[in-house]
Formats: sequence, C-alpha cells, structure tokens
Amino acid sequence: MSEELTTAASPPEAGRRAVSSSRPLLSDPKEWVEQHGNYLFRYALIRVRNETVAEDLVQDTLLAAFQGKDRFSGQSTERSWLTGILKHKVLDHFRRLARERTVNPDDSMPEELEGRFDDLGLWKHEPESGPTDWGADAAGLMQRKEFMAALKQCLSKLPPRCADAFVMREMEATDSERIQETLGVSPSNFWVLLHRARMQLRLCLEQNWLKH
Amino acid sequence: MPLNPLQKANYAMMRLMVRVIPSCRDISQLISDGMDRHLPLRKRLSIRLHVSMCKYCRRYENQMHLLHEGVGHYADPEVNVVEKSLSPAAKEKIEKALADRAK
Repeated sequence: MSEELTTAASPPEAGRRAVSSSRPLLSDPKEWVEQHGNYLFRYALIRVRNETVAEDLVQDTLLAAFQGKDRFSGQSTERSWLTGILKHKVLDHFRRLARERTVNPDDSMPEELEGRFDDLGLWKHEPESGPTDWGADAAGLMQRKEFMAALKQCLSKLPPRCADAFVMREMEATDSERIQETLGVSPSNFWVLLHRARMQLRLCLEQNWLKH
Repeated sequence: MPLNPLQKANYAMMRLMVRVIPSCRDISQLISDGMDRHLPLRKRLSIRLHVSMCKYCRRYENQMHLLHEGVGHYADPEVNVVEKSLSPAAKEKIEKALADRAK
C-alpha cells in the first residue's frame, strides 16, 4: 500500500497521509467546545477555584490540542487526551501563582487548630476538642450535594498555597517531589502544608457539614 | 460536658504515656505523612500503638481516609454537583479562538 502512495505523491507527504488515515481520527476541532468544553471547564474550576482562570485554561488546552492534533496516538479517548493536556495547564497555573507569592509560607498552625491540643500535645479533653464521631454513614453522605458544598466552602478558607498543595496531592495524585518543585517549597515545608490543609479541612467539615 | 470517671482515667493515663510515646499532635502529622509516602516501620508502629489507645486519633485517622474518598468524588466533573458549567459567552469566546487558529 505504501508503494502505491509513494508513486502517487512525494514520499514524506504520502507517508503522513497514510499514517493519519489509518488512525482513529479526532473529531472536528469545531465540535470540541460543544463535546468537551463543559467537562474540561468543570475539571479546571474544581481545581483552580476561579472561573476566569478555568475558562482561560480550557481555551489554552484546546488551542494546544489543535496545534498538536497530529500527535494524538489514538491510544486514549479524545476526552482523556484533552484532559491530559489540561492537567499540565493546571500545574503550570499553580507554578505561575507560586512564583508571584513571596513571603508567608502558610505552614504555621493557626490558633484555631493549635488550641485544640493541651500542653503535652494531646487532644484536649475539657472542653472536648478532638475529632467527634462522624457516624457510620459518613462515607455515603460524601456523595451528596451538602458535602460537596461544604467542601467547596472549606477549601476556599484554606491559605492559597495550602489549598494548591492539597489539590495537587489529593485530586491530581501528583508526585510529592513534583509538587514541591511546582510550589517552590522545601520537602519539610510541603509535609506541613499538607498536614495543615487536612487538619483544617477536617475541622471545617465537622463544623459546617455534619452539624447542619 | 464534664468528663465521666472512665474518660478522666483515660486522659490521666494518656498524659503519662505521652512522655514516652508521640503526642496526638505528632501522630496527626505522621498520619498525614503516611498518606503520601512510605514511613519507616518504627513510625508506623508508633501510629498503631497510639491509635490503639486514643479514640480521638483513631477517629482522626479514619476521617483522613474519608476526606480522601470524599475529595475523590468532588474532583470528578461528572460527580461534582456544586461547580458551575461553562457559560454561553465563554463557550462562544473559546469557539472563536479555536476557529481563528484553524484559519
């Protein structure tokens, strides 16, 4: 088959055509926004927590995908290919933000959290300050709207660097070393940032989700 | 709510124990660390020992895993029900940018 094509056109041109026609093709880029725009936007918005930024990231992603559409290997679905590009854009966004931030590493524990321990570092017993019982059905309740609304609210209360570290680690499962490099923080700083994010989110959820 | 005698005794025992084992504050950091990297056996054992004696840290550990699970649902655009969709204006803007590039 390749012989036939090489006689019909100049060799490199023919080669490219032969390869692209044997692949499962991407849909028309004109359809991308309609087919994937909403999914990608929501994916980005959940992570970057800013609508304008999320819109820009979707646009950047689709433009980059258009530019690189010949590199699509067909080994994944079109959507997961686009999502893969978006994931890089999200990390780039966090890196840009981290460069703009200078002081305040956000890694100290606020009194609201620190004050729940006694002088020896035990959860205070009076007043009872340790984690309360969330009940047996907590896991099931986490698929509900009330949980998601509370989590959104609680994420927005975290210091930005803390929230970014948490999002990369827990939502994107990014390697710790890569997050440290992206945020420009030391490993020890990073472990404290994540710990603080988890501790603050836990308390915020306990107070805002389960109490209502 | 005042502590009952059992809780009082437990608290007194924990205050003695914490002189030789890591405190709840330290354990909460270790629990978090253990979710992101492999901890040495010594640290893992100290978490297990502490958690076996302390109901608050037991809950804490359990809730950290629940949080992880809940964040997993939240992170999925198909499951998350609280974040917005792309506005028609933004859709149009992105479609135009893409069309311009395609020219």
